[in-house]
Amino acid sequence: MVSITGVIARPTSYSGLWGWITTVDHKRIGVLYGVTAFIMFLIAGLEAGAIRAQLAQPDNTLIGPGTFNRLFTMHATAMVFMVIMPLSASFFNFVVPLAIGARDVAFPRLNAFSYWVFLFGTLLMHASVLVGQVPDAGWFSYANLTSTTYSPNDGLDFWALGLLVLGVSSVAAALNFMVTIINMRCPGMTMMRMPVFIWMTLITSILLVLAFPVITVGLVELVLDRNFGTHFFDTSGGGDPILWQHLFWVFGHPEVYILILPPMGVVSEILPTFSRKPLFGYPVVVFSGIVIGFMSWAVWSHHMFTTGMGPTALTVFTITTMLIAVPTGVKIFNWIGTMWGGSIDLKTPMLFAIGFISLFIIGGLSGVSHAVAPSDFQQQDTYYIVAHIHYVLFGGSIFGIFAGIYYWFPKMTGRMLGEGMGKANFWFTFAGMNITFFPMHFVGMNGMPRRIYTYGEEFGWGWLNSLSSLGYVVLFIGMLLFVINLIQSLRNGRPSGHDPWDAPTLEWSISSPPPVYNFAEIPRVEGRDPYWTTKRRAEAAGQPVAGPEAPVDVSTIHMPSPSYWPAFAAVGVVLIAAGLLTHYGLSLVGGLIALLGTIGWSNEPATAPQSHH
Amino acid sequence: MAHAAEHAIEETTTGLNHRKMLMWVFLGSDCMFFAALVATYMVYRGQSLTGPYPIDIIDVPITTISTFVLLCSSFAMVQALSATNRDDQRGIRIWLLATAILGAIFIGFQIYEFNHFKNAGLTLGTNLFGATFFTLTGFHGAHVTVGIIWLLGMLVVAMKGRLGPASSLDVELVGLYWHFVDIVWIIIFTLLYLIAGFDTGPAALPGG
Amino acid sequence: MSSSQQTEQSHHPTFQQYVLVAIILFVITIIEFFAIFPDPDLIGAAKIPVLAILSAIKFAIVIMFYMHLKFDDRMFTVLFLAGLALAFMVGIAVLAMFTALDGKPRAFASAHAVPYEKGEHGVEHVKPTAVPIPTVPPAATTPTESAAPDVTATTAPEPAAEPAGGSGTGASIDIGTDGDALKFSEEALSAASGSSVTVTFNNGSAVNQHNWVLVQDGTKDAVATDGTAAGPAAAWIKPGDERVVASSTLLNPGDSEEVTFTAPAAGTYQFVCTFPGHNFTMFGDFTVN
Repeated sequence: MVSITGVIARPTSYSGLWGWITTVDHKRIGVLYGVTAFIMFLIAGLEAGAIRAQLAQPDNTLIGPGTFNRLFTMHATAMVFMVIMPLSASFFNFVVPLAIGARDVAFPRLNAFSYWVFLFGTLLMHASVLVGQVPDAGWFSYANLTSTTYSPNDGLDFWALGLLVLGVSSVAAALNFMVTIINMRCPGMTMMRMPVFIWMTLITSILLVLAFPVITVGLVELVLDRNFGTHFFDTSGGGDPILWQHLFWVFGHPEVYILILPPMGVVSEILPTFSRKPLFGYPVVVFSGIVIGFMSWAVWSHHMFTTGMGPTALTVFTITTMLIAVPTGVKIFNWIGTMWGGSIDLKTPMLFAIGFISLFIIGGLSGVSHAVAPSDFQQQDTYYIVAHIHYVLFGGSIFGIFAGIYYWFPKMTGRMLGEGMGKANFWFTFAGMNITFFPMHFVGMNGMPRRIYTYGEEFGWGWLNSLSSLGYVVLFIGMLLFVINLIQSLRNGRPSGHDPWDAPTLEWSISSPPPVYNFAEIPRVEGRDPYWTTKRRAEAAGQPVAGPEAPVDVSTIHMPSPSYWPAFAAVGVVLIAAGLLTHYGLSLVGGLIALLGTIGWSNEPATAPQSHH
Repeated sequence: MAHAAEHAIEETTTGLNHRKMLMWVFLGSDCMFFAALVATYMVYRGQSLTGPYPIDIIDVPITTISTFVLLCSSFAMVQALSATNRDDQRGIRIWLLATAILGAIFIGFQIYEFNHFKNAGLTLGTNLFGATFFTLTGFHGAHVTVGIIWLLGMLVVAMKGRLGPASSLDVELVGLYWHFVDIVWIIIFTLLYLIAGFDTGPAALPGG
Repeated sequence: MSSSQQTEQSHHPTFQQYVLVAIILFVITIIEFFAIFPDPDLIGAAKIPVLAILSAIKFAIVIMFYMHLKFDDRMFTVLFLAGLALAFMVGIAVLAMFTALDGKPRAFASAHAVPYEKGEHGVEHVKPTAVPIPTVPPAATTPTESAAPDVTATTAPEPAAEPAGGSGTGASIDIGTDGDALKFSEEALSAASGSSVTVTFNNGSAVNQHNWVLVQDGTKDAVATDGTAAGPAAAWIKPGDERVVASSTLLNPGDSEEVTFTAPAAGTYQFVCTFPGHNFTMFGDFTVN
């Protein structure tokens, strides 16, 4: 219908706020994800600070139990869904098309839609704070604590509906990246020549599209139980709270691999660059990632060892969980092999990458101890698990992400992040992380349960908790240094040039920041590490190393046009969810907006490339 | 010219179309969604604490008819795609309309059934059978409804004469979605009606 | 546009083939209908495999022909089947979790649960009647060692001490535990048929709950298994279990109880502790003369 798209003119410029709202450029969307997620990181980090302040001493009265529950719930939910996942998405968006030699993703408007839905979902979840009905049942919200009997306010509905919205965002993005990676690689880039980060993005995307539907069902059933009188998880109606745990963890375990595989991919890019050596055992690293992806579906009940599943289930899941440590270990050996004999350049990205390896090993070791059901019986629900989680998610995922930030910031902005500040950021973060979380192994083995707002002095956990809280202060300083570094570098960081690290992959062959069309000419590759090949060949031939491509007349390259339909449709999606919380009429309005958005989106002029149906 | 550039951009690594690939991956993902709903149904089979139980209200003959209707709609959908490829403009409109109408008739049967169940005392909150049955078939019905809206949208485009061999992919995509919804129904019909449709209360599960 | 489109069209099914597929779908549905209606047990236990296979056929031909997967690039098959296969396997796995343990996983869990009660401030702690957590290894004066002398001191049930013959005079038997090992202090007891027997069972262990149950010969394990299913509320004995001749209640560490019964018909019997898992080592023979 011409009239729909004619109501508001299709945007043509890239500038200003409207330019950002209507962008379909993967690079800008990557920036949007990164900025939003980083703000959430700071917020969730402050929530952690409050938690540590309360737990620093026994019998503390700084924060009451209700608030404490809300704090750790929002901290964890935010960190998992609104920090690590979107930070990884930020890299997917920015790096994937560049690294595979493409001009954009397969579905640019769907890409924008994913971001807006993510933003609105985050806002919806946090609207709970505005109305004082914050979810407080932990990030995995076990039934039947989540029933209206024990969680009478709307907090859990905010949680469930917020996650449903975030799920839409994640699945849409994952579908997009699957098609992009399979279908938009430049000539010569076979699957086994793709950078490892791209492989990890692909595997993560596959896990996302297959795992989120399961938690969608669980969340729907939770919403039905709470609001429509069903008894899916309620024993008084014949239901079983354990079903929630199954549905959650069938999603939840692939989810933690979704959280760790992209940072592993980042590290797999950084280690070769800063060891000046190709990745050791590329096929094995890729294959291990694939195996991890497969096996992540076979281990979920290790989160449920203490629920009385019976000896068969305990045995099976112990074995599968111990097995999944193998491909992870293989990757670690390959990373070490990459560094071995290399010419190590300890720039900040490399420091974070090495930090990732060491901290992830520690987290992995505690993970292996959880894998064995009998020992998990002692560790479950104690701070030993909290230690494990944070070593793998902070020491692992966050460190990997920070490595990526330092690595790709020059490409995104054309400026270097300060190296001195960066190193200080690293060391404070590394030290702070260990001071905060290492004591938790001990205090957990000594019996300190999770999710308690205070503890008695007689347990003797006081001084270790104080130590952890002190560690938070160190972490805080580290993060402060990062923020200062970020602001300073954005203002007047050292210009980076197109290839500050002498890196091997295609994104470094174009200017920093890249032109809107990425590559003036779609590259053709002949092997892995294509840019190293190009550069070394040029050196060997005595020719000057090929610089970034000279800008080409943009009008000859047809890029997808900006569009307001993605943001518009995203508003519809979140209104559907918000209406279920407030007034069903709002959901109807949301549905109509989403429908209108879909129609407008489909009818946008077909001459725009990659027009989405 | 933009057209040439568009072709250049549409070249894909595998030679396969982006949107078709997207649809198949999406359908794979939707398998997991329905699997989780079916698993919930099967886990709670025979666990309802009170009636009505399936044997009291499930009407296999009527649902067999609605299953036929849906199978017919898949046939109509295939004809619509065929007509599109042949540039049979009249055929396109007739078969798209037929698919949508048959889908609507199926939804009509579902509404009738839901209403009948409600009058017989089975609602979402009555028991586990109600909860799992209505959730599973309700989401299936929602998928069908989305499909009908999509088909009607395509019909509008067809009425303007804008569907033809060049846009056969558009029809193929709605077709893939529609057939998927049909095969999900095959599973639901077999499990909920043919097999579990004769379930009584928790005491015994006939036929295993 | 792309070369694969040309290959698609060359393998396009004809109108007749589509009609054939439709007819097959209809016919299969009719077969399914008559296989189960009006009599759902018409084909008996074959119902499920038959219906599963028939609907799988319908599923497959719609996918292969109507959705054209048979003639399309293999990539689409891979992408879709990955989701389908995973869905199937995970669904089966979740179902297996719930149908294991005789389909009563919650009953199994409840049977092994430790009873809790709510104390002050709603804080839960383990009921005093349940197993207390051992703190310090037993010193010289702990119940364990003092129980040993008790047990040996009360190792009275020598047949010689019993009244000879079955003339109805009461017999008194003491039996205890072997410290915290899961064993009785005696492996063989006896009594005269028809006599009134009083068994004084002393749970001399420090941390274990025990009972003493007299059962028909050879049934100790079966009684214990049924007792496990009956749960702690039934003191680990199935109510109305006909194999049980006499039994004590469930004793906490340090408690004693007298069980009085009339010795049954002559023959061999067994006594056992039916606390879950104890029956493998904590039993003995009871001979009635």
